[in-house]
Amino acid sequence: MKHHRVDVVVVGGGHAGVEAALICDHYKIKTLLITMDPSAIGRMSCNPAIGGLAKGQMVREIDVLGGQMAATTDSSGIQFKILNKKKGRAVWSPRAQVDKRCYEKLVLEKIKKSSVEIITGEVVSLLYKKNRVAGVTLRSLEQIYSKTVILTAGTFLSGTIHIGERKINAGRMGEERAEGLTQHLESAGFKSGRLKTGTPPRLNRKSINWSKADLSLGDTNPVPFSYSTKTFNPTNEPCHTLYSNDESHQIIKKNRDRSPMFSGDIGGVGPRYCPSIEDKVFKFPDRDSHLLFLEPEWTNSDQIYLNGFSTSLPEETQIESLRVIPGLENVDFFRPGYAIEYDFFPPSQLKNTLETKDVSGLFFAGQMNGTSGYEEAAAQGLVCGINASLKVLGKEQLVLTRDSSYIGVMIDDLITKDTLEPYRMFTSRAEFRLALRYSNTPDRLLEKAVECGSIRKSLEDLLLSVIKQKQNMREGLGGSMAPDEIKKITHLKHSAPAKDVLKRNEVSIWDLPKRYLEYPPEHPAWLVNDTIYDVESDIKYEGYIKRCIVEMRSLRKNEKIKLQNDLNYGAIPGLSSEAIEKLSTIKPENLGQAMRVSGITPSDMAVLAIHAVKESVSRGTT
Amino acid sequence: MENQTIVSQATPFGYSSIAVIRLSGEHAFLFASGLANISTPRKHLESVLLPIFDEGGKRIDSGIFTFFKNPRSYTGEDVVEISCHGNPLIVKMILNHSLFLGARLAEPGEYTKRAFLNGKMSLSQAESVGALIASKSKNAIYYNNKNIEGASTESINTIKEGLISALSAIEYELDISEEEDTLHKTVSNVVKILNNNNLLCRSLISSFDAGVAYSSGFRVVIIGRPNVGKSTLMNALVGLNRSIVSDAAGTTRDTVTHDLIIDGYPITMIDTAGVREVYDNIEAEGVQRTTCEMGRADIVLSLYSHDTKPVDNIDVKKQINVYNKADLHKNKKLSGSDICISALHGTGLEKLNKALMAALLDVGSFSGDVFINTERQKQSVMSCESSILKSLALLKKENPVVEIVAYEIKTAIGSLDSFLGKTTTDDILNKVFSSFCVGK
Repeated sequence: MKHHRVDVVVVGGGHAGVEAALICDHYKIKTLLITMDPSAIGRMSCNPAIGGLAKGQMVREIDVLGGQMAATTDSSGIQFKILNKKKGRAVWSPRAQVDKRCYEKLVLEKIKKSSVEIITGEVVSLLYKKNRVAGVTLRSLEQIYSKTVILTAGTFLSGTIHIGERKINAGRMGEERAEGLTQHLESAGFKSGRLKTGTPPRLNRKSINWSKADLSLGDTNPVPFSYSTKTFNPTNEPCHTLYSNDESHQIIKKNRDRSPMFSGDIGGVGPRYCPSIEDKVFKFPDRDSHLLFLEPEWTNSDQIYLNGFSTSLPEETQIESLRVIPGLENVDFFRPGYAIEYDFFPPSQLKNTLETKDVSGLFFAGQMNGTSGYEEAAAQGLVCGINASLKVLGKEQLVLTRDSSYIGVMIDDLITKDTLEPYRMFTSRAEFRLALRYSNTPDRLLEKAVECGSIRKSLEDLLLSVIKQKQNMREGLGGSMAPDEIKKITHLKHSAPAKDVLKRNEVSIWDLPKRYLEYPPEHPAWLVNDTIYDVESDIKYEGYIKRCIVEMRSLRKNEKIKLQNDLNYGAIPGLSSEAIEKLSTIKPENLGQAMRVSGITPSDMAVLAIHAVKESVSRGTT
Repeated sequence: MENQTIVSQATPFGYSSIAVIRLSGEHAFLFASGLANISTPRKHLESVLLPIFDEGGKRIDSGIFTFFKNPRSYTGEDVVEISCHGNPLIVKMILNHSLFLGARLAEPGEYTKRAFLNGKMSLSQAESVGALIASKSKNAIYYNNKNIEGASTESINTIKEGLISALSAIEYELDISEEEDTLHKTVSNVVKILNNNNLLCRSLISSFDAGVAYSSGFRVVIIGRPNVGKSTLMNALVGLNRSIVSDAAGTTRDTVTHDLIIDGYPITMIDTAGVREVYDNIEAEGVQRTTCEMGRADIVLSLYSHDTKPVDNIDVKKQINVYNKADLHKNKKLSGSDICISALHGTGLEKLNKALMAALLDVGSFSGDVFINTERQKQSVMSCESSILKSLALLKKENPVVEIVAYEIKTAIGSLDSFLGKTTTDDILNKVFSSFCVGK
């Protein structure tokens, strides 16, 4: 039996696992990736798209923190679009339709080019040394010793697929599930739960009457996700839309009892934001139609992803209810939609570094933390990878705060809130949304990335020049415009700083004289646009951003007041019993986290604040 | 905002010879100068007699201003203490002017909390401060729910619910709708909701201005079986012939109120219809009002006599049992703290007055700042209104930037949160999920 000794073991090769393994390799520590199926590394198991509302912002954050998802998306995207263009610049969210096969291939190439070692196997238990993780044991009984372990098991832990009355034990359709690891973790003291998610049927392109569907194209001036993307000429392949109708809803209603969602076969909780079609039909009986998207899974693919029709109804009901929709009269499936139930571990058991609170060196990322989505998983994988590496190297951990990034918001939500359904990112989860724009990602995260060493030097240099450029432009805009210049763009009689002119509603930054918009020639056109718009945003939103900054300050103050892990909340006079119960389970690391635990009242906070300050004074620390 | 300048009355609420108003925080000196309409710089421990103006520039009083420079003050911040005449109306006007200048009303226990956080208190005091704040906020919650006009809390809740539904409609646009073109419809829907809630804010603010909520002091309610002498007692206490007194049981079919001041405490004395098992239709209404009054009472005087039993099953905050008609049945043995009087002959009234005062002190033992809840409510509603107006202005534009509107509505909701509990992002998302067909 071969004995391995490595710095980090990454269990799982999905979006979390890939980011974790590659960033560990960037830190030049010995990295081993264990997967049950090496041919499935980087697989997009659900929709053929990356980014979207709030998720697109996260992909940019992944890019600046040194992750690979953004660049790979740029190389494999087949349609790019900025969503929410009319609704405000902070919610502009980039999204790309992606060639799934290409994406997978590019990811595998990156892993192969790196020093990450891949082995095929199934982890069934962990090894410990006192309360530190010391490695993993495979089903083959092979033991691998490691300083840190990152678990990214996705939907594979005791995964069960449901299609109508049929149940299949699998981690994904056609892939074996992982057994035993949940039980092992439970015996090590971790709490687990059950969640559910679903995927729609895949249709045969040739069976669709395309003339009945509406065309939906991407932007004509596409913007890439990654700052490191130099040449960017993606195709603009069309998607299409259709509407479900009353007739198909009737068929779904008639077969309601055959859906495991309603028959009680599924115990796990599904996401409300991504409801199955049977859910939508029942919850919104007034709607006589629902929008459906036909998305190609890869270039020239015959396989079409039917977005909006996630379902666990029996296959024949799925076909029957679709064939009454104009355009789908003769539709055939490559594979039916299905629901999958899997084990997850309530993430309140994690620190804000994504390391488990009770086992040092052990990190969890992705769906096993109760999240859904490629981007959410990748972001967590990246943070786990960075922190596992920093741990191996004996350096300080990376903590992302709510005011720095969507990733920070996500991690904080995960560790302080009850996970009742799969967690997905929304812009409304971020209280400082106006300050968390996709276009100001470097301004928010570059310093952190440089500090923890996760970013490549070449990207760092480019981003520094972008930030410098913004500073120069902002300074330049402080300069006065002559009345003649102003007269051309707005009703203002006297001379004024360009900044003030720009603040006027009807004025766009592009109206200003050229001297304000000068730019280094080496930056690509999309980046120039991006930067100029961001400077405009800063100025137009100045008043709001200032208010955000005041709120951020008070947030930061509370984050700095630490709470002991072994704090006996029951012994603090004045805390409500609900607060005692919640705080004792979640064990917040600082006052800010405690404040966001659900059910904590302002009066609980006052009591806790005083206790915490008192503690730190008596311990002689601040 | 942690270190905003706060203001409140430091002396107990009510009429007295002197009232002290305390300002603490970064702008305490500035705001004090604003109240006196002067701009002379002040030194630590300087004490001067200055005129006091309202925000309209009208002189309302004069008072001693004492300045404490940080860190040499109670809270460790800049502090100004103003001693003025102890008239609740004057105090209210000074507080209003301070708020106009940019201060905010102090939370219960906030001065003490700041003092502790600024290291002005020893460690051993910390625990008691925590417990104090906890108990004060319990009282504050009690007052929010019960003592303050229940109706205004309810209206504020209605406004908040309206704002949450407006916000969730916008968040649906920002977070969910993607390609569906519903923005126009959403905007007109949101404008409708906001207009509606703006009107609600307006009417609430004018009701506060009328002083209805503010002027009502402690509520002392007299209850008892018919003909036990409630009205006689009321008349005796008030010293005015206001209630109709007669021998027929059930004369006072409605509640009768009278405002008076005992030892500087403003009191609303309420005489109620007698409670008995059987009553006619006219009385039924009166009895219902009695029950309602008991619910709002700070103190209930439960009257009984040798031939009438006390009203049982009453659940009130503070109750004093009073045995009336002592002149008719002299040697009756009384339980513990019951008070023996004859309302008709005026005997035992001194003792009752003392017991009443003790009970009032108990009910009102926490510091004055809790009592200005309605004033704080009004401030909240006013800042809520101003955010609603900003949102509406933004929505009037040709291509409204809805993410900014969302920010303003969130601010509006935030101003109501201090009364109704924090609104979390989950509350908004829950509303989105329950009201809209969400997701691809």
